[in-house]
Formats: sequence, C-alpha cells, structure tokens
Amino acid sequence: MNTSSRRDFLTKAGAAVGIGAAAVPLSTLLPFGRAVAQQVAPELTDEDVAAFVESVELVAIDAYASATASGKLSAGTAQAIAAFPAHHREHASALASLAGSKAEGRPHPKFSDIVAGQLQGAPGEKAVLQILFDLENAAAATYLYALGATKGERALTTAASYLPAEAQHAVAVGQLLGKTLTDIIPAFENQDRALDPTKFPLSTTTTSTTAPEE
Amino acid sequence: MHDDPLLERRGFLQLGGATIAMAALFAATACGNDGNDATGGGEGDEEAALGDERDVTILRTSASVALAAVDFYQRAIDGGLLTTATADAAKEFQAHHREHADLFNGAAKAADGEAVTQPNTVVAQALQSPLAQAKDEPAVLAFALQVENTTLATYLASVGRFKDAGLNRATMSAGGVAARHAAVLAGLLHQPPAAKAAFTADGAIAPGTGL
Repeated sequence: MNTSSRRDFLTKAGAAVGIGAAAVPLSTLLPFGRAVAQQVAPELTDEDVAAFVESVELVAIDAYASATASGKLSAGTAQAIAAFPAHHREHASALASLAGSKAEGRPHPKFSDIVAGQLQGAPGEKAVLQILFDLENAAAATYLYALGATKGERALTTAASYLPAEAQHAVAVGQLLGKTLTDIIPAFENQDRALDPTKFPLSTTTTSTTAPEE
Repeated sequence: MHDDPLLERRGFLQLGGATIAMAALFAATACGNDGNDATGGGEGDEEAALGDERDVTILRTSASVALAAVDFYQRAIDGGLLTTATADAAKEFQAHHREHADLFNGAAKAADGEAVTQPNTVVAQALQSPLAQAKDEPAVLAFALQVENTTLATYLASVGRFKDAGLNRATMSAGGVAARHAAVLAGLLHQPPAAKAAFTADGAIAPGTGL
C-alpha cells in the first residue's frame, strides 16, 4: 500500500536545486506547488484518495440523473450532456477498483446533500447547468489535487487520464451556458475548487500521526 | 473501459521513422519505478542524477511540444483562413501554450537543464506541409485538434515518470487546458466536444524526440 503525506511527498520527492545549496523542492517553484507544499495534511493512502474521488464521481452521476429528471432541461441540452454520466460511471468503477476495500460505493454524503439541494432549488435550465459546470470544474480540480496526493503509478495515471475528461465536460456545459472562452479555459488547471478529502473525509479515510517515512 | 490507463501509456508517436533512442532509455529507467520513489534503490547519487536528467528531458520535450503548438497557431493565424472569431480563439490558445512552455522551461532550468527555444521538430514537420495545403478553416481546425491531442498525450505520458513528483500535477495543469482547447475545436468541427471518458498517451512524443 502506498502511504503518502502530501507535504512529505512533495518535499521528499522534490529535486534539489543547486549543488551545495539548501535543497529546494523543484515543485515548489511552480504555480500552486508552493501553497500545497506548505499545507499540513494527514496521511492519505492512494486507496483513500481513490475512494474519495470515487465518491465525488458518484455525486456527479446522481447530479446528472437529477438534472435530467428535473424537467428543467431542454431536449437539446439533455442530449448534449447525455454521454457524461456514463463517463463518470466509468471513472467511479475504475476508482473503486483502485480503492479496493476503502471504496464505499456511495456518493459523498456531504457533497451529495449540497448538490441535491442546489439542483432542487434551481429555477431553470441555466441554474441547473451552472451547478453542473461548477461540479465538473470541481471534479477536474480534484483530479489535479489527486495528482499531488497520490504516489503509485496506477493512481497517478488514472487521475491524469480522467482529468481531461472532466475538463472537457466543463467546456461543453460552459458553452451551453454561453460562457466566453476565458470563462471556460484558464491558462492552467488549478486546484482552487478541488474537493479535499482532508477537509471532508469519507468515513473510511484513515489519518495518521506517524512520522513521515524517510 | 480504461481500468488501468497505464496499460496504454506506451503509444508514443513515431513520425518519419525517427529513431527514439531516448524513449528506450526512458522506458528502461521507468520500468523499475513503481511510483515516484525519489530515494532510489540504493545507488544513491547516480540514480538521483539519472532521475534529474530524466525530468529535464521530459520537461524539455514538453516545452518543445508546447512551442510547436505556439508555432502552429501562428501559422494558422497568418494563413488567413480563419474567421475573426476563430483567429481570436487561436490567439488565446497560443498564449496558453506559450505559458505552458514557460512553465516547463522554468522547471527544466531549475533542475539545471537548458530551456528549449525551438518548436519540436517532429510535430512541426508533421504539420507544416499539410497546414500549408489547407484550403479552408475546417482543415486548419482539424490540424489544430491534432496538435492539441498530441500535446495532451505527451503530457499524459510523462505522469508517473518524474523524480520530482510535483511535476506530475504541474504537467497535467497544462494537459487539462490542452483538453479544453480540444473540446472547443471539436465543437467548431461539429464533433462532440467531450466524447471520451478517459485519455491515454497514444500519439505522445517520446522524451528527447524532436529536440
């Protein structure tokens, strides 16, 4: 099992810059790297992270089902997003496999409640799409987070494989909302909107106070 | 279903019969690297140096591919086949790729590598002639989509290969943007903007190729 502390992970794995000088993790020189390196986070295994992201994917599946069943979407809009729930299902299934016994197979309770409430209160198509747009961007950001929080190659490549799909969903939904290119395409993906398992843990997510591995 | 995208990560682009010596080195060094173990296996400095060198090679390749995209969009804009709205989008995408190249070059320099100033020759050569023969906007956009997909695949291929694990996230912060570009371009070509559930490294430029 891969155990990683995000802080320790970035610091230990960082390439030392300069010879004989104080070692500076290369990743801290990059955008968003510094902030993450300074965070103090409990230890999460790759399986913990996968289980968490699975629960986010399951929220997305439910959100699309609710949106479609709400009667608030036009036929054209429903058609445009029809393929996305299957993508999320595929992601959730792969993540469940990755998470193993940590997988809960249910939507993240807190996020699920929030999104369900938002969708219920959405007055029309535009509001529903805005919720889905935010959700897809949050999913992309969460995969970016996962790329910094996981260690094993399988977890990393899984996150890297699915992040672009969520980003493309966000573009598609954003275009349905009539958003500008600037609104739907930043210069860099960022994890400002990532859903954080250290703040909203699943019940099986373990934390540890053990010293980082050397 | 791509239960394990790793299984499909080796599909590096081989254009023009280019000999990809670095790819062999890359693959060989990566095979025993389950994850991003910066501490290596006990050879100490040698392995650390190899990891640094590998990071630099990957970063420089990514920078060169980003610069190829910058170059491509300039040619597309200069070609005069794009409408004003599409040309504006091309300029925005070009600016993003320039920022990505700066990111990769900055990281390469921070690891004692050299920055790349020229577009990746494999990508550039593959597109130069067809682009010159393009007769309308859809033809140009189809090549743009190809550029974005190659760029994304190249970035994706590097994930899990870095010694400095922070570079995985940095690289995909650019990869996600290439995917967004591709979605817009697909829409302009009347294709589904988000048709794939998962992406692979198929079509990636192997590290060290085209520099």
